This record gives sequence, C-alpha cells and structure tokens, in this order.
Amino acid sequence: MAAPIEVLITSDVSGQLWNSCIWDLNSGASLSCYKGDATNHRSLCILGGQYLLGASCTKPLINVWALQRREQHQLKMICAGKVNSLTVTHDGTYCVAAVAENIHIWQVCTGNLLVVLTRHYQAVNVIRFTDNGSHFVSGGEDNLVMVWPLASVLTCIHNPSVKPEPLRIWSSHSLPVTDVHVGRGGAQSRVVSSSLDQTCKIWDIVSGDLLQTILFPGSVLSVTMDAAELRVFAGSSSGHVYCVHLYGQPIKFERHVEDQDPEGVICYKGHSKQVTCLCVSMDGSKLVSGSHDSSVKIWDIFSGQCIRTLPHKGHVTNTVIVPTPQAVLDPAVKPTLPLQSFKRHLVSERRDDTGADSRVLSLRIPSSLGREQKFEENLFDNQDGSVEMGTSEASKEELKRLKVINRELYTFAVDNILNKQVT
Amino acid sequence: MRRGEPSVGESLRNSFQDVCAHGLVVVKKLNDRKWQKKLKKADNVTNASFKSRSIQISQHLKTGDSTQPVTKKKHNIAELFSHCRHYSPSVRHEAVTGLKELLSENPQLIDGHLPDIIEKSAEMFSDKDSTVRRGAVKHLLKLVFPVISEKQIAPFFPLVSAHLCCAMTHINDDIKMDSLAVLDLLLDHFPKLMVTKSSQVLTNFIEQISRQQGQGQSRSLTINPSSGTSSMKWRLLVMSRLQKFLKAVLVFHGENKDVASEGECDVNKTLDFLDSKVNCVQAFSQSYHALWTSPGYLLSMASKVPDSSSSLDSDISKAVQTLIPLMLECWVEATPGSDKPGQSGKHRGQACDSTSAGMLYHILCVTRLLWECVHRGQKPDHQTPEGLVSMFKYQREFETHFLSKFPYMVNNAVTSGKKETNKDLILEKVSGVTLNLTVCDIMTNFLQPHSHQVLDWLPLVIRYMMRVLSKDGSQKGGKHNASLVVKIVRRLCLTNISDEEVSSLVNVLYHRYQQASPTSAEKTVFFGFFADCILKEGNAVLSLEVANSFLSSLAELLPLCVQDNPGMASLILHTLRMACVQNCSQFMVEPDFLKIFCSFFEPDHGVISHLPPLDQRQLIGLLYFLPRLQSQLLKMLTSLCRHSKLNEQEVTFLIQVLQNRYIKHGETSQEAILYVGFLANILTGMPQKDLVEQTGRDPGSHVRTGLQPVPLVYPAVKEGQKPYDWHRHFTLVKVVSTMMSQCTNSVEVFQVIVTVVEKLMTTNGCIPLQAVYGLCKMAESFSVPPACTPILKNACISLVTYMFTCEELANPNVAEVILNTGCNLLCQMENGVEDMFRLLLNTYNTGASVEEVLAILKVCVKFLTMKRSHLVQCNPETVQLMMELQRVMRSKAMSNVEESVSSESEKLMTQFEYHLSL
Repeated sequence: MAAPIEVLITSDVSGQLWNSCIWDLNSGASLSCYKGDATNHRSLCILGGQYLLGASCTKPLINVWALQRREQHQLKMICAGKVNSLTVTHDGTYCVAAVAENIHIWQVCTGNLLVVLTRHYQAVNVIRFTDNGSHFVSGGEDNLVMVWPLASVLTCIHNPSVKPEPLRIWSSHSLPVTDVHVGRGGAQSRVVSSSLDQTCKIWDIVSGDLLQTILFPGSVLSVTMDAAELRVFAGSSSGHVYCVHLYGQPIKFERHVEDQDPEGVICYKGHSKQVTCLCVSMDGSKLVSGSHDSSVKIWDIFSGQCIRTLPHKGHVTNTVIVPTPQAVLDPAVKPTLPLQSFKRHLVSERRDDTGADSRVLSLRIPSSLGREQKFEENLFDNQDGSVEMGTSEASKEELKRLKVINRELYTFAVDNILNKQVT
Repeated sequence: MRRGEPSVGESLRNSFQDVCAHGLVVVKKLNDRKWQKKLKKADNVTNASFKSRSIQISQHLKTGDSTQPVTKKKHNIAELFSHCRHYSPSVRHEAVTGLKELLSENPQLIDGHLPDIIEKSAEMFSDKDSTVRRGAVKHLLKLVFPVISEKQIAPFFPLVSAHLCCAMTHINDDIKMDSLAVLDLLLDHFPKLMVTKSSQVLTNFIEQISRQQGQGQSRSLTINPSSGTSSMKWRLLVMSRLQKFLKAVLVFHGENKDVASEGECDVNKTLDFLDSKVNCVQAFSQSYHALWTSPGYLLSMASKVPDSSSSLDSDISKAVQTLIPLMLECWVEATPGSDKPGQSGKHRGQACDSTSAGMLYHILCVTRLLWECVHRGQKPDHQTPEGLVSMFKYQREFETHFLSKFPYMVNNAVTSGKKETNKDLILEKVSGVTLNLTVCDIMTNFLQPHSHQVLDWLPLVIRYMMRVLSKDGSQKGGKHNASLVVKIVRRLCLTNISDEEVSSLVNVLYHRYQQASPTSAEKTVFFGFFADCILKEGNAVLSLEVANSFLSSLAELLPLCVQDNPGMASLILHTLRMACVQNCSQFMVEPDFLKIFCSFFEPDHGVISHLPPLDQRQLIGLLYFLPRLQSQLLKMLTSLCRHSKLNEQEVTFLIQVLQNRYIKHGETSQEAILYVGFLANILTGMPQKDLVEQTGRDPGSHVRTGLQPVPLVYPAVKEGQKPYDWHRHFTLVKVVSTMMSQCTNSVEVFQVIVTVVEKLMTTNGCIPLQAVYGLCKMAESFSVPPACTPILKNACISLVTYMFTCEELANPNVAEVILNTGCNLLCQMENGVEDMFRLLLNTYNTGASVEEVLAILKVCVKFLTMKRSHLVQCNPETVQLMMELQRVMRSKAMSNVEESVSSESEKLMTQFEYHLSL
C-alpha cells in the first residue's frame, strides 16, 4: 500500500486508549499511537517531522515522543505551569508555549528558555505560527489577539531595557478568543480569530486592518481555513460547523429561475456538543472536526456529508493534519534533531553561573541532509561529472587563487571605507 | 389700387428726390437766389418721412427645438457656453447668470455638461472683469460644486487647479484676491483633491504673502502698499486659508491610518451568518479596496499623490522650512506693544485687542497644524522624520517669541461700533484661554519623552495649566479647549517632571471631569483621557485612588448619558470591558457597583432597554467577567429573558454568555447552583410569584383529575395583558436545551432541573404548562436518566391529555407544536403510549365524572384520527387496551352518562368505534 501523503493526529482529554493517535485520513485506519497522559487543547505538534510534542492536560508537563518509537515511554519536560497552548516553528527551531498569561519561547536544540513575554492580561488560549515561522499569533482570555514578530522578539533577549512589543494588537473581540488560524503567506497572511462573543474576525497582518467580522448564531470555539483560503470553517458551541465562503457568488452562465437550491454547503451538522478543533486536509477536500461529544468526524467539504466518525474516549482536544512524517512509515529512521530538555529559567540568568557569553545565540544548522536534498545532489552529480574529475592538486591551486582574490577584495574594501570616513 | 394715391413706384421716386436734395444743395441755393420763391407742393405729394424707435427684444422669438431647456431669454446651454468667451464683459456676465438660471432650474444638465461648465468657469477665474469673475464663483461654482461628487470632478481637476494657480499668481491684485474665494470653495468641497495638488498650490500660496530673497531659501514677508486692503487683513485671509488647507492635509493622511483603529468601520463589515443561504464574504484589506475604487492609480496616483508616508514627511518638512519663519515674522509684527527694555520681565499678562488676538490665534493654529502634520508623518519605526528635525531647529525662536509675553490676555470689550464692520474679516473671537492653551500645546510638542533636558519655560506652562484647570470652566468652546488641555497634559505626563506635579495636575483635571455635566462634550474628552490612562500603558500616571474612583463612577455615569449621549455610553461600556479584562476589576466587587450594575438589567426601564443592540451585547458581555454572580442579578436576568424588550438573538447571547461563564467557573458550587437554577427558571416559563398568585386566586383551575398525573395549569390571560408569548418560550427552551448539551455533566444538570420542577409541583400543587412543555422538549434530545423517567412520563401524559381536552390556547399552531412534542416524547419512552391508555382505562374503571368520560373519549378519538394512528397500530398491546376500553365503555355507557351530554358522548363513541374498526 502506498503511504498516505498526509496523516491525521488526534488526541482526547481522557487518554484512556492512547494519548494521541495517527490516522490514515482516507481509510480511517490507525497507523500508530502514543501512550501516557493526555494532551491539552491546541497543544499537540510535530517537531521537525521527528518528535511529537504534547502538553499535559493536568500537570505542568510537556510530553515528547520520538515518532518512530511507538510503544516506548515518552520524555517529560517540566514547565513553569500548566501549558494552555503549544506550538513549534515549521523547521523545529523554536518552541512556543502559553503558560497562564505568559508566553515562553525555547530554543529546541539547546533547550534554553530565551524569553518570557508578558503582554496578555489573562490566560493565553492559543498560539499559532505563520507558515514561514516569522511571526506567531496569540489569542487570549483577555479578548486580545496579538501578532509577534519572532525575530524582533528574540533580539530583545540580551537587552533587558527593551521590552518586546507585539507588531499588532487587535482588541475588538468582546469576549475571550478561543481559536486562531493563520493563513498562507508568512508575514502577509490573513488571520482568522474566533471568540465566545459569537464572531469570527478576519485580520490582515500587513496593514493591521480588520477585514471582516462574521456573526454566528452561537459561540465559536474553533476556526480554520482551507489552504487556498476559499472557505472559513467555524465550529460552534451547538455542535454545528459553519462554512463561510471567501469568494463572491460564482458566475452562472445560465440562470434558471426555478433553480433555487443553494450552491455549496452552509453548515455541517452531526456533532451533539461543542466543536473544539477543526482542520482541513491539504487538498482542501476534507474537513476534520473534533468535539466534546468524544468523536472526530471527517467530512466531505463539497457535499457536506460525514464520511467517517472516529470514536474517542473523552473530549477531543486536538486534530492536526500534517504531511506524513518519514518516521511514521519507517521505524528505522533515527531522529537527527538534537533535542534538549526545556529549561525553566531564562537563559540570561544562567549566564552568571557558568560565565558563558550570553551574546552568542546558537543556531541550528541541519546536521544531515534530508532525503530530497540528497536526491538533488545525486542528480547534479550525474549531469555534470566534470566537477568530480578535477584532481586534488588542481583544486588546491584554485583554492589558493581564490584566497588571493579574497584578500585583495578585503583590502580594497577596508581602504575605501577608511578613506571615505577620513575625507 | 385707388386712383389719386401715388403708386409705390412714385412714392419711392419722391423720397429718392428728397434724399438727393442734400446732394443738390448747391443747385438749390442757386435756385433760391434766382427765384426766391418756393414751389408749391403738389396736392398729391405724400409725406414719406418716418420716425424710428429702438425695439427691445426681451425674449427670443426663436421657437426651434422645444425639448431643450432654455433660459428666460431663450438661450439654450450651448449658446450660453459660446457667450462665455464673448469679448464683451456684459455678455459674459449675462452668460454666467444665464447658466446659473438654467442649471438651478434643470440640475440634470449639470451631469451632462460638466466638462464645459468646468472649463468655462475655470477660465473666468482670471477674467479681467470683476463682476464676471465673482459671478462665476458666486453663481456657478457654488451651484455646481455641492451637487457633484469628488469622482466626477477628478478628471477636470488639473484644469481647475491650473487656472487657479494662474489666478493666484496674476499680476492684477484683484484677481489674486478673488482667487482665494475659489480656493475656499475647492477646499470646502474637494479637500482630498486639493491635497493631491498641494505642491503647486501651496507654493503659490506662500508666494502671496512673502517674497523669496535672492536665490536662497529664506523668504520674507512682503507688504504691498498699493493694495486696497491692509497687509494685516490680507495676511489674515491667507492665514485662514492656510489653516483650512493644512486641516485638509491632516484629514487626508488621517484616513490612511485611522481606518486601522477599530470601531466605526466595524459595523459595516459585519456579516450575519444565516442558516438559509450560502454566506459569502470577500475579505481584503483597505489598500486593495483603494486600488479598485480609485481611478487611474497607475500613473496619476503613483506620481502625483503624496500618499506614501515618506513623501508626506518630506513635503511637510519643506513646508515647515518655509512656513515657520514666516509665521514667526508675522507673530513679531502682530504681538502687542514693543518690547521696551527693562520692562520685559513685567510684561507677562499683556492685553491685546481682539484683532491682533485673532491674528495671533491664526498663526498659532497654523503652527499647531504643522506640528500635527509632522507627527502624522512619523513612521512607526523609530527613525526621526525630517519634519521633526526641521521643527526642532526653530525651538529657540519659538521659545523667545511665543513665550516672551506668555500668558496673553485678550481684550474683547474694546470694540467700538465702527470697528465692528471690519470685524467680518476676523473669523471668530478668540478667548485668551484658547490662545494661551494653543501656545502651551505648541510648546509642549518640544518635550521629548524621558529626556533629561531642562527647559526653563516648563514650570511656567505647568503653572498656567494648573490655573486654567482650577478655574471654573464653563465657557464656550469647551470641547476644543478640553481636547487641547488633554493633549498638553498627556505630553506633560510623559516627560520627567516630578511626580507631585503630575499627580496634582491630574487631580485637578479629575476634579474638573467630575464637575462637567454628563452630556457635555468636555466630559467626553476628559473621559477619553482617563480611560486611556487606565487602559493603555501609562498606568502610572493615575494614582490608584483616582483610577478606582474613576472606574466605579462609570456605573453611575452610564444611566445618565444613555439617552442623550449614546456615543459616550458605548465608550463607557468599552472601558468597563477593557478594565475587566485587564485585571483592574477590583471595583466590580464593591456592593455599590454591583447594585447599580444589577439595575442595568431591569427589563422595564433599566439601561439595557435603551441601548442599541450592539451595546446591549457589550453590556451582556460584561456578565462574563463579573467576579461573582448574585441571585438577585440572576432573577433580574430571568425576567429580562422573558421580557419582550430584548431581541431573541440578544437573549440567546445572554444565556450563552452565562453558559460560557459556567464552563469556566464550573468548579465552584455556588456558580453551578445559580446557573442551573437560572436555566430551570427559564424553563418554567413564568415567574413563581405569578404561579402562586394564580393557584391561590383560582384553586379550581388545577383540579387534580385522574387524567393528569401531573396537574397542569395554564394561566389565564388577565385583562389588558398581552397573550403569553409562546414563540419566545419555544426559543428559550431550545436555547436552554442546547446549552445543557454543552455542559460536561449534562445528565446531572438535567436531573437537577427535573427535581426543581418537581419541587415546584409539590409546593404549588401544580405546574404551569410552559414548564411541562420545556421539560418534554428538553427530554426529547436527551437520553433520559432512569431516575427521572417516571416523573417525565407522567408529565408527558398530562401534557398530551391536557392538550387534547382543552382548547384554551388561542393559537392552533402553538397547540400543535406543544402536542407534537408531547406525542414524540411519549413514543420515545418505553411503554409510553401504552401507559397512557392504561391510565385512561383505570380512571374510567374507578368511576370517572362526566367530564372525565368525555375527556377520555376525546383523547381516544383524537389519537386515532390526527395522523397518530400509526403510533397505536404498531403496538399490539395498546390496541388491546383500546379494545378493552371500548368494550367497557360501551357496556356501561348509557347507564353512566347523563342526558345532557349523552348526544355528544354518543357521537364521540361512534367515531371512536369507527376508527378502531379501521
């Protein structure tokens, strides 16, 4: 059987069968599951395609499983408090967690706690990254949605006088924010936030504008968009999933008067309790919803039918669709990502003990190439073998020549700059 | 032709001879000398002399094409246009008045002929004749501009502004003067377009009051001695236009930024999700909308409009460099009295008459607007903009000039009658306070936050502010002054002046705020200041007690301004919400506050009934953040839910908010009890008080019949009251049951509610129909826990029998809905239908009254007829029961039933038998 392109990961609050389980979206088959504890709302994520991170429901813990070792017990990391929401950058460099009203940012490879952001007034409910990892969006119990530029937040860490400030603060929700979805396009993406005040709001990061408010019949507990941002899905407290189209009415070439049936699906009805998590498959054809009625339902977006129901043992806390990680398919793959236990104290405090230079910000450079990169390399070799043909002596000479040129460049530049400043 | 009269030919000949006589003068003279005797005229000579008189043609006789509208003089519009270029000024003037006449009578012509109108009238800006010039402005443009939109005139605007520039730089002073009127009009009607032309117009404008000295940048004021008006007045005119212009610039650039601040645009971007249709929105940012809507963005917008903030900044900095020196120069000329040496120290508080005060005020206003432009041009990143740099260059000069004689006094009383006539040039009377505040405002702009420079004039400003604020402030122009005061105080707070000074200043301001009347604009402005202080970062500015007293005073303030000042009311609600969210909610626990807060929700005349729906939601949202709920409040909310003043959507929202609150604080038992009690009360459908009253007053209405294991009562409609709103109750029940399904422990909640209703029954001996309906409806969507089954089944049976037997409900639809609910639930429950018939049989066997027998028959018949026969048929045991019932009744029927009702019962009996046999 061909490996599925994408898999669904779900978790529930009871953790009776497993903490979290990986499903094949098409067949509904369980591919693998990870046991121990239970994972909190919006705090399940895949780190670099190699680890599964989930924050505990009840304890101040983050559980980590290596994806390929299914039955083995998890690694536990202790945090300052119960984690409300957890997310990682796409490349797995940084991990961001919401602990009460604070936002903690760790560097994954060192485990250093880089910064603690305290800007929200009350507990943070959700944190999401943009697809390129340049910004993250947080939404809290205090009705605020904030956009943080990761880079500028991290530059503040060695300069205690500068308090990191969010790029945008959106405050027009009138009740707590329950979920946030970030669209495509990095810093230029649109953000949808949902709130208990029965609205979803669509925002623009670049301009900071509120683009649209959508008022629903019930409180909205989860929200998502498909990859092309054609539709917004809102999971309401009544168990319905509402769909709002983000395009104009399709132009009909022929218009029949008697043709009254509405085009498209308005509402996905099937859950009996509030829908707390939603996600859409990568091709935008399937919607996955998890509810407090202890079931995950997979819907066909275009016909509005429920294709499959996956029973759970408690409130469903996470439904995540990711491209199939290699480790799920092939247990032999070893994790290459260095993962340290997350520290509980800020990195700058630690400096006094060890005397290490705090001005060094370690960066992760992928130690081994991914499969695709290797493949590309092979291609390159085959096309142009002449690179390989060069003898070692020839390359040494080449190296020498380049060094000379480099030096010349350097002196030229230095002379020029210095002279300019003098004159 | 009659004989004797000269023919036409003859008379012509005669007259010809007459005419020729002049030519023959010489001959005649000769003749006179010779004969000296006149020849006698012939009898038949005709007197052919004639008189001429001019004829005035007041109206054209031309008939032509009558469809075109014409003026009184029968000119159509095309002719008038051609007359506009006539060499004679009077014709041109007539053309202008004619156009005015035509267009005011036929406004539809404007759209069609706009290009011509604009072109012709623009040419007249620099017309040599003053009447034509003024006529064009006064008659034509004033008529046309208000009617047409900015978009319509945009394509012609380059033409207009070119002509305007032409007129402004004209050698003739009168034309220059009149060009200002045009500028005024344009600024009034099309400020946005004017801003786009700022580079041309502004330079010309400055040219009017100054002259460039040589090639350098500096300009100096010019005085034109030959001009009609004094240079002072002339400058005043120019200055007021400059002010208008800068305001337009501010507005234009404000647009780009203020959109982001939420609020006003919020409303029209809201989509109400509807279940009945596909909902579509197109969410794009403002900048995209601008691309779609603004014309020709490719060339004209990109090259000419200073729309990016960077170009605004450089524009402004140029303007600052040219304008500020001029302003200072004007200032020096306009300040009262010359600075006598030795007296300068005592010169404070100098009085100046109102003319010069007006001048000073205008200078200050222009400077202030320039400052605002500079601030507006500031980019979010921390670069110092050019404008700011160039502004700071003049700091020294500002200090020496503006503050040398600060504070100023204005002597408005010294206006004699003669001066009054000239007064129309000065736009408004300026009070000394406004003048001085403006000076303070300008100067405090130089304060840099958190810098350590010591400015020697700062104490002066602070002292003055204290004096102004502590004075009783009941003047005109309160709003303007108040916003100035707030701006100044805000800046002062940011600098490193001592804490006592800040706090005393704020205290004085707070005092002033408390005194202001709730409906005044001043109050709103001060309110905004305090709200900002508390909610934004600068929390340190306010002392704790001021902050607390401010917040707790809000609750009292809200009812006062809810009707007269709705904007303020929503501002207060917003502030309260933010305060709740940002953990300054200590004030919410105070009993005084809670009491007032409770009264907001009073259904009849509480605040909530006066608010618009959006603000109602805001107020309801506050419930979520309330630290503790009180039973008093919940009682109020229950009656509010039943009250017709609140929309159903808002009621749904209200219950939802309480539900969310319960989910959040669910662990505390107090909350849970209150909330579940609230749900049960809603379900009951009527206040307990009414129920007690009902049962007490009319004990007969709930006679416990054997047919109703749970005695039902349906309160009769009192006279003068509206009938019970069943639809609202249906919605409420629906909402409550959805809410219950959301609870994590919904089964327990359900049980609790059932027991509450049960208790109600034991205390009162009966329960209202509404409550029974509510229970049944709720049970429909639930798996009923076994503990509740008996009571529910009884309730259900009572409901069905009650509904079948009584016709009290006026609305058949409502009755149908209730009945359907009952029957559905009955079928859902195990042995439901069966038990009902068993009950009927038992009642009958134990000796039923006449009414009961009738009721039994009715139930049986209706059950068989009204589309419910399948319920009976599919269940053999029920059929058995019915057969038995029929047999028993048939056997005893005649003996038991009295005469009076026998015919009716007989009829029912036969019906029953007929259906049964089917």
